[in-house]
Amino acid sequence: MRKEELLKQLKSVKAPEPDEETVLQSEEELIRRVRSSFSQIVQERRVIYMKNRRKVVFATVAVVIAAVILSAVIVPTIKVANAKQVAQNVIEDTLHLKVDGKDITVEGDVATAIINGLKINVDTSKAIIIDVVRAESTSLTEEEKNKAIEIFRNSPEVKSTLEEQGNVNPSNAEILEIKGLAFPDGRKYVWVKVKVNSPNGDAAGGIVDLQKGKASVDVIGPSDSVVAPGIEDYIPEAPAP
Amino acid sequence: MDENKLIEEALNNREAAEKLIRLHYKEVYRYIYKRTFDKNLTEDLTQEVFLYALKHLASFKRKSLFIMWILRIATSFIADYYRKENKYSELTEEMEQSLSIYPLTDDPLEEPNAYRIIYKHLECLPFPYQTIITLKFFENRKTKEICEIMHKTPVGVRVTLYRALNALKKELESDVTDLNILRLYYGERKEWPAFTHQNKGEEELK
Repeated sequence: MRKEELLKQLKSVKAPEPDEETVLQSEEELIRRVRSSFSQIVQERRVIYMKNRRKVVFATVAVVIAAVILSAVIVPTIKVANAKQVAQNVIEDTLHLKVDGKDITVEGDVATAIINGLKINVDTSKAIIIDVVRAESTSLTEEEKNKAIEIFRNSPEVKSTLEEQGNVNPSNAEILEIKGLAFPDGRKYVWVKVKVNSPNGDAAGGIVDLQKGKASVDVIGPSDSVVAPGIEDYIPEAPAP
Repeated sequence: MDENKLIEEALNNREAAEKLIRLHYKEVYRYIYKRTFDKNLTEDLTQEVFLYALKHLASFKRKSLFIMWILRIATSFIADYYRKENKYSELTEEMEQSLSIYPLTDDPLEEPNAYRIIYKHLECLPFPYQTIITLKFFENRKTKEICEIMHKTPVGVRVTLYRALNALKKELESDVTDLNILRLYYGERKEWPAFTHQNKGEEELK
């Protein structure tokens, strides 16, 4: 048998039909039902129509609410990202400091960056620095001091800076000063000043982040000018009139 | 009277609604009967289909013929019935009786037997396959009409029909006795054809 024959079979087979009388009886039964309940059918149709209209209204409202919620979530996220970018640019242009986006918090039009022991507030709408807040001195435990010195001496960044510019190996450089700084973000940093042999001066100072275990050299110069970071080191340029 | 006018009137006029029912009742009843093989069930489903249609008449957009819309509703009701009752591949007692093919009647070439054999195996197929084979071969519907009833594109109908035929062929081949009866019916004793992509029977549909 070829494939056409299956189709031929299906085409030639006639489905048995229900007898006419049964169909008519059934039809009359339905007509009787419709006659007795037509007003109810019309009423139900109106209810269905109203329900459908309500569904459409609900669906529209739901879509609008979803759009509002989405915009309430997405728009602020975009705004924050933009504000962070503005703050990064302003800080880099004005103070020549590179700041990571994750170190910036945004509240309204004010972005706050914590970097090198400074709290920098930026007005993102005007793209200017509002103020730079200095950290305050705080006491350190012996354990914190030892940890800070260890981080400072072993930091690859400190090592390369001091070896190149300070002509000294940080692992055996003399510690001149060690000072605790409580910065506005609540973190505790440590200011470390060491003796160097540089044409620029005989001391270098840097910040140790105890939490992150990172250290950096911020300044090399004469011993009396190498002091813990403060506002006098980063005077923002006056905003353009 | 123009059918669209009748439909419009049937929204609020009982006589028009009755006229609309009388116009299409037989066609719908027959279609459902071919899918259920159960008079009581057919009667219940047909009446429910018409009552549903009357209640939702305002949502009939007149994009297709009214009968196509009703048959689409009927198809949904049949599907719902089988789904709710979980009656796929399960024949009721009445259906078993009406489908009884063993022993064969005195005349093995009697027409209904061939349909009953095919119907028995058709029942084992997925619902859309049953629908499409019934519409195409036992209702002799055109592809356009099948598209409207099954809410499918012409390509969708062709693909479904191709798969349905393959499935039916496989199902029939699994029962040697039924296969032999069908071959006897057609006086054929050769092998059933293998369906391939080259001969998927699409030409038949076109």
